[in-house]
This record gives sequence, C-alpha cells and structure tokens, in this order.
Amino acid sequence: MRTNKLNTLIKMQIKEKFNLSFFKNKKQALFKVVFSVLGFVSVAVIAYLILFICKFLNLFSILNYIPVNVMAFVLGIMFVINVFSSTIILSRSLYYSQDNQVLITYPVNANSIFISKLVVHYIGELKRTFSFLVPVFFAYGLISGSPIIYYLWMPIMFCLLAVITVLIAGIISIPCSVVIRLLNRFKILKILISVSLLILVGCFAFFAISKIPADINILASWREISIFIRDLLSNFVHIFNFVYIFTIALCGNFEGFKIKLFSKYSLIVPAVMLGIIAILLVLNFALSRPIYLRALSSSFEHNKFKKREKKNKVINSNLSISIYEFKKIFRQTETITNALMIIVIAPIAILALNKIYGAINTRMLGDYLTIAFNILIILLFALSCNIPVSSIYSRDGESFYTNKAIPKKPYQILFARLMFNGLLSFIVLVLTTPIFFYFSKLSVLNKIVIFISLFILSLLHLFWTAEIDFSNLQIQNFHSFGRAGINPNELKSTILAFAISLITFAVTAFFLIKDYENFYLKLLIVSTVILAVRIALFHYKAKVLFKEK
Amino acid sequence: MNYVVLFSSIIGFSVLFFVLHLIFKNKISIFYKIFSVLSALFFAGWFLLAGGNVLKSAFLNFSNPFNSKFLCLMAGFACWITFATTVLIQLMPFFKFNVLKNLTKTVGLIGTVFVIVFLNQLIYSFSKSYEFSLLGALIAVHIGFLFSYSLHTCIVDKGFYIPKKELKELFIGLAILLVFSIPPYMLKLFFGNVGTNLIKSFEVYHRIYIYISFAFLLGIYFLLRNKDKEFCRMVLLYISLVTLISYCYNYSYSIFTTPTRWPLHLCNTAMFILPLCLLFKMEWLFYFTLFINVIGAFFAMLMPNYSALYSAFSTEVVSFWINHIMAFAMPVLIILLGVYPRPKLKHFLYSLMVFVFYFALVLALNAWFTNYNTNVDFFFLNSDFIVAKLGRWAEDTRNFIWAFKIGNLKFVFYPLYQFLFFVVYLLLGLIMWFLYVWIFNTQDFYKELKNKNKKIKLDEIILTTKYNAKSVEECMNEQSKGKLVLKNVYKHYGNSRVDVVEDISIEVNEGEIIGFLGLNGAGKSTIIKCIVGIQPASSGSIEINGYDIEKQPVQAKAQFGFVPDHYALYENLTGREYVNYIADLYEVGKEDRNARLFELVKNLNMSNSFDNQIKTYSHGMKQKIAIMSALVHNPKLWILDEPLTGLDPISIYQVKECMRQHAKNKNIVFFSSHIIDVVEKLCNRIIILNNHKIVADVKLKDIPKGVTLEQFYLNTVGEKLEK
Amino acid sequence: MRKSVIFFISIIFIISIVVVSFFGMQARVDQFKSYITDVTITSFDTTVGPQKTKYLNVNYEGPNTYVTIRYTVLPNKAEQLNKIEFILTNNTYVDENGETQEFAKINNIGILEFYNYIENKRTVTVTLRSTDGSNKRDSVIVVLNKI
Repeated sequence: MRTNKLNTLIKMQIKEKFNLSFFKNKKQALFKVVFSVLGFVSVAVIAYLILFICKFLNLFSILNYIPVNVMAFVLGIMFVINVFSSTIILSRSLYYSQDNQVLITYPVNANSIFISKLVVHYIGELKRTFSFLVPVFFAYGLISGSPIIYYLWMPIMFCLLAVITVLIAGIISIPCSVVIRLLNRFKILKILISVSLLILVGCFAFFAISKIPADINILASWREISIFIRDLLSNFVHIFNFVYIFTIALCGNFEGFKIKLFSKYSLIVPAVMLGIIAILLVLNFALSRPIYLRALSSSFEHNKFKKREKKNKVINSNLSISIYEFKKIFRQTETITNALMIIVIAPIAILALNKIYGAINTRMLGDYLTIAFNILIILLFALSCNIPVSSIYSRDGESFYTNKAIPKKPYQILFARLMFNGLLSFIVLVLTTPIFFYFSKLSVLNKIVIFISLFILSLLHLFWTAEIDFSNLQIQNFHSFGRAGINPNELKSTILAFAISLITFAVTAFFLIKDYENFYLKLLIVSTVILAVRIALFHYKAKVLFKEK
Repeated sequence: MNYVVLFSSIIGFSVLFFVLHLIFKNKISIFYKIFSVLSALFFAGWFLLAGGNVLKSAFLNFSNPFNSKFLCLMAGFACWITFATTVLIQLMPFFKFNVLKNLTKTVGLIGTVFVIVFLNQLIYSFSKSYEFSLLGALIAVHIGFLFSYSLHTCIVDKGFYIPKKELKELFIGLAILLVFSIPPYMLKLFFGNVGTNLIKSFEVYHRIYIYISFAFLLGIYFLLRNKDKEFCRMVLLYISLVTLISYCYNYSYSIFTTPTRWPLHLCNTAMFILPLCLLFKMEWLFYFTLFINVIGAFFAMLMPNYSALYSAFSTEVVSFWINHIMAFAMPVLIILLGVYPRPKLKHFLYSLMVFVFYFALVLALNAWFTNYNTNVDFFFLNSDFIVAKLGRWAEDTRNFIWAFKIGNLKFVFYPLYQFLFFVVYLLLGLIMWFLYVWIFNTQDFYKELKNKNKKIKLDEIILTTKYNAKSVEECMNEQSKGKLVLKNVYKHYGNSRVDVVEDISIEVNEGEIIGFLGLNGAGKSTIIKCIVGIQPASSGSIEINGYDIEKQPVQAKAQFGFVPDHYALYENLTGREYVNYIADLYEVGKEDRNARLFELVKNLNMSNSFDNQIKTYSHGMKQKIAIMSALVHNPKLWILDEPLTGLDPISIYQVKECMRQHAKNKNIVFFSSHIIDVVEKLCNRIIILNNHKIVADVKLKDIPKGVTLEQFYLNTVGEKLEK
Repeated sequence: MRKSVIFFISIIFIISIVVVSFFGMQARVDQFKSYITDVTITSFDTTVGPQKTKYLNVNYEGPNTYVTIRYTVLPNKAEQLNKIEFILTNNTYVDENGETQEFAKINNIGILEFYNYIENKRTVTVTLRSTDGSNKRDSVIVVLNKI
C-alpha cells in the first residue's frame, strides 16, 4: 500500500514537472527526439574537438593521447558543481515548492513525500547528466578508441553516480534549509553575509588580477604550461584518488597505446557505489523522518509584526506599474542576489580578461580579436541579465489575469515590467565597457557607438525574451511549483542570448579583419533597425493578442 | 534590307490580326495563344542560332564593337526591351489581367518603336555583321510581330487610355518588367570594370549580391502577398522566363550536340525546372527544387565557383548570380505565395526520389563524359572543388577510387566521397523541411495577427460610425449609461464548436444588487470574465456604463472594480502598497483615496495589518484587500466572483454591508455565489444560469410567496426537493 | 545566473585567451631563428665500419615488444622537440597471400614497437631527422633477437 502511494506521488509529480504530453503527438515526439539527439551530438562534437586539439598539442601528456586523469579531473569538478546545484534545486523543491502545501495534506507520511521528491529530482539530474557528462565521455571514448561495450557501460555508471549526487544533495539540503530559515528570519544577517561574501570575492579577484604577469607568451612557455597542467592533474589524482579510481572503472586505463576497459576496479567500484547508495539512502531516511515534516511546514510560516501606520502615496499611473515592480523585485532576495552577482563578477571578469590580453604582445589580428572577444563576453554578461525576463509574466501565476481587468493599454502593462532588467543590463554595460575601452585603442566616437550598439542589442534581447514569455505563458507551471519546473521559455531565451552574442562576435571579427571602414556605425544602424522591428512586433502582438491570453 | 523585312512583317501580321479579329471575334483568344507559343519557339530558334551577343564581352570605353558609346548602349537597350516585350506578349493571351494589357500598350508599343529605330544595331549585336543574313531577317520578323501585336492590343483596347486606378499597378509592373529582364551584359556596359577581386570570400560585392538575393525574396513576397494565386503565378512565370533568357545568353544549338556543356549542375537545372513548374503542374519536380535546390543554391552563393579575377559586373558573374538567386528564392516564393500548396511528407519523399534519380544520372554522366572532356564536373561530384574548401580530411575521402573499363571507356567513381556527399545532401534536405515548417508557422501566425488587427480597426470604425463618429474615448451609447448591458453574448474556446455560454442578454440598472446563480460549470465565471475583459466574447456585445468592453477596453475597465474568485495579489507588497498601486492605475486623487481607504479599512477591520506584507495575511484578509482594491476608485459596477467563499461570519457581514452601501450609492453590484441564503437576503434580483443559458432572470419580490429562493432555484434547474 | 551561462562564459573566456595567444601574437624573430645543429641517436650497442653505422640489439619479449630510441638534439630547447621526426624503413614484408604487412612501427617520440617475431624479418632501420630545413639526421639499425 505504501509503495502504491509512493508510486502515485512520483507519477503525479513527474507528469506535472516534465510535461510528457508530446508523446501523444507523433510529430512533436519526432521533433523532441531529433532535437535531443542534435543536442547530444553537438556537445559530443564540441568535446571531441577540444580533446582532439589537446591531444594534438600534447597538452596532457608527451605521448599523443588523453590520459584518464584528465577525465578524472573533469568528473571531479563536475561532481562538486552538480552536488552544489542539486542541493540548491532540491532544497527549493523539498521546502519551498508550492505543491508542498497540497502534498502535506495527503494521507502519506513525510518520508514518502521526501523520497518522491528525490526520485523526481533524480530524473531531472539524469536528464542533465545525459545532456552534458555523457556526451563528453562519449567523445572521450571515441578519441581514445574505447571498445563498443564502453558506450553501454558508461551511461550505466553515470546513472549510479547521479543517484549518489541526489542522495548527498538530499542530506545536505536538511542543514541547508535550517540555515536558509535562519537567514530568512534575520534579514540583517543575510544582508551582512551577502555583502561580506561579495567584498571577499572582490578582494580575492583583485588580488588574483594583480598577480597576472606583465608579459604572457603561451607559445614560448608552452612546455612550462603543459608541465604545470600535468603536475596539477597528478596532484589532483593523488589527493582525490577515489575519483581517479572511479574514472578508471568508468573509462578503463591505458596499457601501452590501447585502452583496457575492464579491470579489478570494474567490479569493486560499482559494488562500493551500491554500498554508498545504500548507506546514503538509510541516512536520508533516518535524517528526514524527524526533521522533514517540521522543516516542510515551517517554510510556510511567516513572522507577524505590528508595523507602524504609513501614509498613502499617490504616483502617476503610468509610472506606478514600474515602481511597484521595482518594489516587488527588491523584496525578492534571490533576484537581488543574482543581480549583485552579475554586477560584481562582470567587471572583474572583463578586467582580468583585458589584463591578460594586455600582457600578450598582439599584432593587428590580435587587436581585432581582443575587441571581438571583449564584445562577446560583455554581451554575454549583459544578456544574461535578461534571461529572468523569460518568466516575467508567467511568474505572476494566476495574478497575471488581473492585469487584463486594469484600465491600461496592454503594452503599458507589459512594457513597464521590463524596466528593472533593462536597467540592470545597462548598469552591467556601464561597469564593463569603460574597462574594455581603457585597454583598447579605439577612438572616442567608436567607443560611444560600440556602447550604444551593445545597449541596443541587450534591449533587443530583452524585448524578444519578453515576447517569448508573453507568446507562451507558463502560468500553470508557476502555479503548481512556485517556479517553473522546466521552463522552455528560459531555454529559448538562453539560446537567443548565446546566438546574438556569437553572431555579433563573428560579424565584428569578420569585418575588423577585412578592415571594413565604419563597421561600428553599421552595427549600430542594423541593431537599431532590428530593435525597432522587434518592439513594433511586440507592441502589435500585445495589442492583438492580449485579450486572448 | 532588314527594314524591308521588318515593315513587311508588320504589315503582314497587322493584317492577319485584323482579319482574325473580324472573323473570330469571340474565339480570337485561341489564336492569340497559338501565336504566343509559336513566337516563343520562333524566338528560341533565332536566339540559339545567334549563339550569343557581341555585347557580352563589350565595354563602353574600350573593345566597343560599334565604335560609338551611344550606339553600343542603344544596342544594349534594344536587346533588353526585346527580351522584356517578348515574354510579356507571350504571357498576355494566357493571363487575363489588365496590367498585362496596359504594359503591352505602353511598353510594348513604345519599346518596340525604340527597337525598330535601332534595329540594325540589335541585329548586329546578334549576327556580328551589318550584312543582310537569315538571322537578321528572323530578328526583323520577330520585332515586326512584337510591334504588330502591341499595336493590335492598343487598337482593340480603347487606345492608350489607362484608368487612373490601374496606373499604380502599371508602374509597379513596369519596374518588374524592366528590372528582371536586364541582360547580363548591361551592368558591365553601365558601370564598367569594377570590383575585380572583390566578388568572392565575402568581399564587398560578394556581400552586395547576397543582400540582393534576400532583398529579392522579401521584396517580391511583400509586394505580392495580398494578390491572388494566379496573379502571383503570372509574375513569377514572367521573372523565371525572362531570367532564363538572360541565363542562356551564351547558348547556341551546339549545346545539344556537346553533352559536356549540358546544364546539369543542380542550380542550372532550376532555371529550366522553374518555368516548367509554373507553366504546368509538376509536383515531383517542383518539390525537388524546393527541398534540394534551394539549399544547394544558398551554399553556391556563399562559395561561388567563378574566378576572383572577374569584375563584379562581368557577364559570367551576373549570369551566375541570376541563376543562383532564382534557384534560391523562386521555389520559396512559389510556396509562400501559395502558387503550389505547402509540402507534406509525401512531397518530401517525392523530392528525395527525384534527387536519387538526378544523383545517379549525374554520377553516370560524369564518369562517361570525363572520357571526352576532363573538365566535366556536374554537381561537383567529379572534382575536388568542395573538398578543397573543407580541408585535408575531406580531400582524403577522394582517395577511395573505384574504376573499371567498358570497351575504350574508363569509368571512375569516388565511392566514399560521393556517398558522403549524397548523405549530407539528404540531411540538408531534412533540415530544410524543419526550416520550412518554421517559416510556414511564422507566416500563418502573422497572417492571423494581421487579420485580428484588421478586425479591431474595423470594429472601431463601425463603432464611431454607429454612434455618429465620436472619439473612441467617449461614452458611445448614452442609453447604456449607468447600466450593465449584455446583448446576445456567446462564448466558445479556441476552435471548439461547443458554446460554453449561449445567447446571454442581461440589462442591469444602477442601484441593483444582482445575484448570479448556477451549477458548477454552468458558465458563471466565463460570463464574468467576458464582462471584465479577461476573455473576449465570441460574439455579442457587452457595455459597461455606455462603454463597449471589446472596442473601448481601457475606458470600459475604468468603470468597474473586480473581485476574482481566488485572490491574485502581489504577496511581497503590503496591503496598503497594493491598494495604492491599484488606486494609481485608476488615477484616484489623493483626497478621495485617503477618505475611501480610511472608511474601508475601518469597515473591514484591517487597521492592524494593513501595513504588513500580504503573504502574512489569512485567506479572509487577502479577500478584504481584493475588495478594497476593487472599491478604492468607487466604480459604477462592482463585480464579485464568489467573494464569500472561506470567509468567517463577521467578514461575510462586513462584505455584505459594503455591497449594500455601494448599491445604495446608485451603483451596480453584480456577484456570483453558491450561498443561496446570502443571495436571498442581499439581492433584489437574481439571474440563474443552467446548461450555458439563462433560465431565469427575476426580481426577488416576484418569486411566489411561500417559495424559498432555494426551492425556486432547484425547480428552475430541474432538481426536485425531497420532502 | 544559470549554471549553463556561467559555464559557457568561462569556456569562452579560456578559448579567447588561447585564440588570441595562438593567432594574435606578434611573431618574435628569435623564436624561429635557431635551427637544429645536430641530432644524435644515443640508443645503440655497437658501431660498425668506417661510417660508424649504429646497431642496437633488442630481445624479443613477446608480441608488442617495445623499445625506446633515445636521442639528443642540439641546441637543447623545448621547441626543437617539435622539429624532428622518426622514420622507420624495412619494416614491411609480403605474406603468403601476396599482401604487404607491417611488423614494426614507431611513434613520434621514438617508441618502437615490434608486433611479433618473424624469422627472416628482424631488422629495421630507424632514422631520426630534423624537419626545420637544417637537414640533420642520424640512424640506427635495430636487430630483434629471440632468446
């Protein structure tokens, strides 16, 4: 009976979170499969190319191959990142998801809810693993000449690894939720810690940047660099020997020029993993039982304080939407934290990049490439500020419909919501472009034109992303989960950001190398025209479709 | 002598047309069609006989075969007009559009007069001699035919008169007629030897040509998208025929006997396939062009195979671009303009089958013809043109060779290279399929958007006309002022034929409290959502205080306050902030705002928590905030959708008092509820909805004495009370 | 910021530095100035004859027997290692089917591999030569012995 209830809980959440309706439609299913395969192949191809170049340059070994310790390093880093991000995602799902309010009322014990959430998260984790790690190791198999059985063995091992990731995240999420609740309770503490962390990161970054040598010549110091990398890998493998052993069990090891997949570790490691999984499962059960229910219900508790009576403020109706939007945003710590993170990291990254470029003795081609890469990376930072706009209307949930009863034109309601993100990307540009310009040899006019072009491109992405959300509202997703389980709009917006940045980079590099005069002005004109078309289309769509959404 | 032939042909054809017109007045079109076909064959005959034009290698400033810039230029214009007029007159009998007639009367007549003036130069450019020859005579006859036909058209169709409304179309037609019929050597004559070394590798002229290809595609699409299919077919047929003539500038009869020169490259075939597909319905061929040719032409435009040493306007370069722009843009235009239906899966399969056949044919011909000419390289299957651009790894695929001899002939194949080529092209075809689906979806979406926008504009015009052309901002219907009026409202979702509400007509006057009753799923919430504008009604009208919710949405929404069935509030704001936000949107002044909020906070008992965040509120408190935000602007109509659900008794009482007070102030209260007792005590009129229709609309005092509202309701919806 | 965005930006960051270093750097004249002056194979047992032909004896230890051919290059700089190559000659034979087969191969850092022991095919010539145009070379004849 208990297993039945658990099964039901799991099936219910999977259906809601993963939107499996495309299976009913053959054409959609075909599209989905083709795109998934394309995604897998793209990542595998890129990984193969990178490994091929490293092999060709003898970067990791004086022998012409990629040793297993490289993949051990990659796996180690990715495992830590996965555990970290899984902890965050799982914490949200376990303690702050909207559906908890309903699940907690069902005749199931808290353990079942906990386990069902872990299972659902595991499926998401598997999806992420098969989107990145599996294609990377697939590429490694191709480049190392692994036997056919490797391509069956490797995914199975990753399935086991994903279980461990999820279970570790499950355990860590429990003390995490305590810390989060504490920070939510004492907002001052939260602010202090955030500010301190930011200052620490800033100081560390500036220290690291100051250590960048004045003269960098990768070609001349290639041998030292490769030796350093090889030593780093050896030390890593020495310290984290278990990661290395796991990787050997996963990929095999080289004997001479050939890779031997199966060894004694191929039996020991999976057995150990199963043992670890069993222990983690028990721990999860044991820890969650007394704690989870309490943690779950207290997530929806709010402190009540008597507040001082305030006055009514009258604001112009056209500005009101924007101002209250800002108020809402500044009360969402996650949005502010994200924004601060970008504002701090972006200028530091650009400073580090330009310092390194400055240390390289570049010729004309190198100067052009530095300009193009600066534009690319600045754009990536600026456009990433707009990605949250992909749920700007959806995240209101059912509240979105009340906007339709307001006596305002559709575009006023929709456009006003975009001001915060527009301002944020402007701030990022204001902080990063002067650093880039300081190190470049561009004329004043070109600098102004570039800045305006970058801002226009970020506005383009902003409006386009808003249109993506408006055209495909994910209200039901946000209604159930508080935040979207899998938001297709966010994916589209992310791909769009990458595409705009890469196209601008390619066009900039191409025309600079061709020594095309007045290129920057042309970029400004073209981006302005596209932005005007985009805004007009959005306005048009809003006017016509707002009633029906 | 040429002029003798010319005038003889003019007289002969004019008489012939006149006689035929007299005898076969109604059936004359058949003869026109016959003449059209014959003239096309005649034209092709002398064109191939000429085998090229001296202008193809002429420059105005040097190597000028006429020794006069003026005559050289005029010869070029004469060729240009000849090509344009020839195709125009060939199309005339087959398409009944006035623009063709008008063009024939104007351009056809005036143009041929021009050609007659420079007839000798025209003949010289083809025959390369001023002496009288067969070719010269044929050209003269042809020009005579063109002139006679144009004159005849002019005489038959009221002379030179062209109605004003057809002038715009005439000028656009003239532009298309002339732009696309330009011979490939004219640009060189105009602009000379420019852009050498700048026509490949994305140099400036290369880019310009690529921009032109997209400009052509978009320009023709936007020009023709509102025209009917037959008109589009005519225009596209004209363009494809006239560009075919330009493309074949160098062709002669020898091409039939020199197989190695056959135009069997993929894009070359498109020049011949497209006119055929536009003339006759040839699905297999057309969809092959659509899926396979378009992508091939696109890549060819990115990697042109002419020498970089040519100038940007040399005949070879212009001819290349004419060919590839046609192969790239025309199939897409044909589909987008609806001349051929959108491809289905079976069409994609047809195209693959044709491609397999083409591939096999070209493989065989390459292997065979290489024995006679080592430069044979149809579809680049024989040479390393493509692999040289991809790198060593690609070049290595050509190391696998399969060769055998049949008699004296050696047949060489590159199986790995050719197989990979085939597979890659198939994949590209598949990618094109996805791309087309996306283009069609986008096209449909924007078409629908445009239609909806047209409807909105039309509605506004109807509204202003109906009510004596007042501004949309004003109250249109004075008779509905102070009322809520629904007239014959229907609502269905999406493409469903099932109405969720049918024929709803309600008129509510000020001072009334209306209780809206009905079973779950009867349509109460739908009607309320239509009233407040959350969903549009499928038909019918809804007027709030004289403003139509569909046509004057902003003004109508300012007339009501709405309390939804589940509060939808911004939880991070405080109650005060939220209500002030709503008040700002309704432009409530400071004094009114302060006074109303003071009353509402007091009446609804919210003083202790009004400045706390909404997420800390209970259900009842959130409902009260929703009520306050709906009343802060003192609306004429107050709509509530099940407002009392989940409230405690005191809160219910407070809300009821608000409703009574609001109605007392000569406003309307319209609310839906399941709590019949409350409705009975509060309302003065009830409307009952059942099976998506109104089944009762009565004042409470009109219900028979002794019958409770509950009994009345149950009787009305068909349930019997158990005694 | 999403994980994928951070990851993508980091990758682009690193790629940009690598690309600018490899393709955008000014060529320093002295980088290409030094040519190889001498290459010497140091793995040999005896030299025979007036031309001092080098011989190296190797014991067969079963299939895929490896031997490292050691060498020195002058001037002794890191980049010189990229300007030499090993060439193996006499490492093929014709089998009973008339097909040409290899019985040994060498990689670019001098590791010579014998696939198996064939009675009348036991010697190969390993030549080490410079590829920077200085045309320096040295060779050794490797003899495979079965104990």
